[in-house]
Amino acid sequence: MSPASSRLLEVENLTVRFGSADPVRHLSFSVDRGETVAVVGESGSGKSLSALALMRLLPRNAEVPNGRITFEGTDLLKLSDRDIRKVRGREIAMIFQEPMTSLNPVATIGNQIAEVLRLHEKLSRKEARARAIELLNLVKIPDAEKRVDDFPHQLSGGQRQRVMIAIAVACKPKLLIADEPTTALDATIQAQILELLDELRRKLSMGLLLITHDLGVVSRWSDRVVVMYHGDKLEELPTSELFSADRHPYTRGLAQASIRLEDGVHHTSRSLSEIRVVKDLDGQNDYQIRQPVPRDLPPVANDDEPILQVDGLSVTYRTRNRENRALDKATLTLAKGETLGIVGESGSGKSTLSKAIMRLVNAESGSIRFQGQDITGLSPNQLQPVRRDLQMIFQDPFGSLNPRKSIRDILEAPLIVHGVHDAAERRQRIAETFEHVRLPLSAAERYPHEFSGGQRQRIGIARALILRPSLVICDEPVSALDVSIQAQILNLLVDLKRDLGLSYLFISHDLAVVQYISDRVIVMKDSRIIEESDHKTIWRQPKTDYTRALIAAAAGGETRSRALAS
Amino acid sequence: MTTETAVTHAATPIQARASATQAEKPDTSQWHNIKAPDARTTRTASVSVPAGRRELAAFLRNPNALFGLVFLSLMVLVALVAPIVFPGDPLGMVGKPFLWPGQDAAFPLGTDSMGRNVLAGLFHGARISLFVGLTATALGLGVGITVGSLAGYFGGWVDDVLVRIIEIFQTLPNFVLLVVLVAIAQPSATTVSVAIAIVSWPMVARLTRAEFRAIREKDYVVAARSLGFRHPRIIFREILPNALPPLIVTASVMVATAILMESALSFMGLGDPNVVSWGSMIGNGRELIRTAWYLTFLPGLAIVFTVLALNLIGDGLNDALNPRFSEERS
Repeated sequence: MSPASSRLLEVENLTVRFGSADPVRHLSFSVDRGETVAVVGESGSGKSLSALALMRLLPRNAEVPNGRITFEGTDLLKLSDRDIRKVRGREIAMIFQEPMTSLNPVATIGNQIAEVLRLHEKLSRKEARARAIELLNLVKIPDAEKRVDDFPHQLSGGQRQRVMIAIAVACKPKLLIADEPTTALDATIQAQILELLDELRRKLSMGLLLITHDLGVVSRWSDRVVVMYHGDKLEELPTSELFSADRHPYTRGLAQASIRLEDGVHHTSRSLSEIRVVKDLDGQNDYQIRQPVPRDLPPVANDDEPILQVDGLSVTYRTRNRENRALDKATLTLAKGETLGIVGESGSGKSTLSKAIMRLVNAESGSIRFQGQDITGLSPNQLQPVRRDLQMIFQDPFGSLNPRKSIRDILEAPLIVHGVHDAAERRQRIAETFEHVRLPLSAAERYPHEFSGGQRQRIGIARALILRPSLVICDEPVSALDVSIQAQILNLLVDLKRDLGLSYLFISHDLAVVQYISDRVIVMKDSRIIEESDHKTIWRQPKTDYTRALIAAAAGGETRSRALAS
Repeated sequence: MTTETAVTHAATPIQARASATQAEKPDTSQWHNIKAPDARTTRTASVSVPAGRRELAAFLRNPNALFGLVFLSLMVLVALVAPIVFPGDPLGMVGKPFLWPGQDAAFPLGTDSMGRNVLAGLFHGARISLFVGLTATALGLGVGITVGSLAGYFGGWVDDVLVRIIEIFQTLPNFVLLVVLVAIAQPSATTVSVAIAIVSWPMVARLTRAEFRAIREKDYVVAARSLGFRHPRIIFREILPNALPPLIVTASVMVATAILMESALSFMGLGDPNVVSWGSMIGNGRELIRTAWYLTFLPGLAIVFTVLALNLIGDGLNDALNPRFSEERS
């Protein structure tokens, strides 16, 4: 494809072994100078382990039984520990997913940047500080001269990621590995960070290895894509062909399962494709794509009394010396059988809104009417019958289930609390709910840690459904899940809505997901509702600049591949 | 909402179970919605030991912990059989004074200055030491967990008030407070236990409070609240089981500390004068340490080994419970 001299990194036949398992098998790919190569895969695909293997940063109990990693002519696997340390940070640098934890909280950002410079380039304190300010300017931190002495907690998430990038590019590395660099960030920040990475790649003519699960990011920012599944490289292709038809079935499945904003897919028009991987007779993986037939939903009953009516709801969090208005005069209505999507970035107050409606935090002013009853001031005892009809699904499938209880206990406790004293009836209700969320009954006796993320989320949904509610508040229910699992859960939520006549309040930062599932959409910013519209209008004719910016950031994912294709 | 489904599923429990076994058989087809198993399934499949058994196995594999457990069991046995093996008052004068261990077959560990059987004293002393150790720990844990969980769970003014109370107890030197308490009350095994519990509960309360504050914010607790669980159920069924591992470790060390405190009190003559305890034996033998050192050495050895055993158990529990705990928290 390109002349041999421009080859920066060549990985051949790399295998990573933990005991008897090989989480990465016979991986080969290459990165040229100034090129962006994306490694795409879902959790467990081995993409992050491969990146760590390049830096020789694998955990102690891992080994590399075969393979070669040639970086500018030297095999990194053969270098001594001393020599590899000279490569790390200077020749190859890495940035990580979590900007909140990858900076040292007790050192100023200037010192953290200077530390790398002094280690690799033997600069004096003064020179290093000057370079640190230069680098902060390079990554576009405003007021770099002042902020150089800030501690990490004084910076926002996006700024911290910029500092991480500054540290990574401090010694002008030839290769930058970015492991999910924007996954923990808001959409608008995400776009800025990726733009910065791309700009630095050009300025410093680095190779960029982008590791991500997000096909939108891949399609916009990379030249070539390596697709991995369960430790195997399935295929390697130019980014422009990512969404073309004749790809590997898994790639196609991923592309179809991930929802893109400008496709305008809605749950009433079609259901999402689900990828199914089955072992065939030879023990090979067989990838099938299945698109469930969309079924008709009953129309939203507009004439009825709304199931939920929130009027001027405000919430203020008070700590000893600070007041924080987390929700400011929110007003909304939700009709029976309707799905109301709530979009907003972190800190916009959308989670507070859901907690206030659930009466998990107390409202300062305003009212909540649920099924015709004012529940704003009800005591815990009076709330008890209301809770049966008003349930919640949580974001983190790993934190929302009590690790010390079996699934049966988790599902049985709400029934006991709500007065289902007959053990046979409880068993039957659990069996029924398992069927709704499509889990086998054998799951009941197991503990949460035995399940995968998607399965746990099903259990979380089962817990919400076991009391047969009429309104379910979904707080980022698919944000922590892989693309293929996300498609399954969204299909499940749509099915449940139809089968059980549910109404949803669906909260997400992901515009494409909200677009898919919602009948009406509310946009929140800085604790306020700033825009409300039906699911078609809001994407086509956004009224506020903020909504337009959100849409641009989310839809931007496609523009480059379009430009390349045309 | 689901009268229809309720009717279709209105099966007897037997039918429900029959369909359950049926569902288990073709396992792959039953999980038809799980298309792309992610890494966590494969990783956790190998550790699908029911909760608790893995910790027990890890604990029993630890030779130090096993030694501690065996020695402590031996001490419990000694305490239980003491009235059978040595009936009568261990404080009774039964032989010649100052018989050295081995000198007289009737008194394998010798006699003290008053002609009392040392071995009988050690056996009966084990009863007092273990009784005080266990009772004081149970009381201390009870009060400490209650106060700590209330403070940690409710927060706000409840927390403020309870933490102030904890601080009052913590600012007083433990042993001085203990001596004062015992001096005021009539010394007996029970009052000594209560006094030790009074000085040791604040530590438990602090630990419990910290655990509760961290776990209170977890989604499964929020979920429990949104399901309408009442406070006692959330505290005892949802949070406490997850807060237990560090408390169990602390408990074993608390028993050891309580035994030491009781011995120290008895050594100073502040214990119950009518019963023999390891501490009082050391106290009595203290003036004769040059001539008859075995009188202090033997009960001292009993204390050292019992406390060591308890500490080893605590370490073992810590190792057994913590890896899992850290895994769940990460």
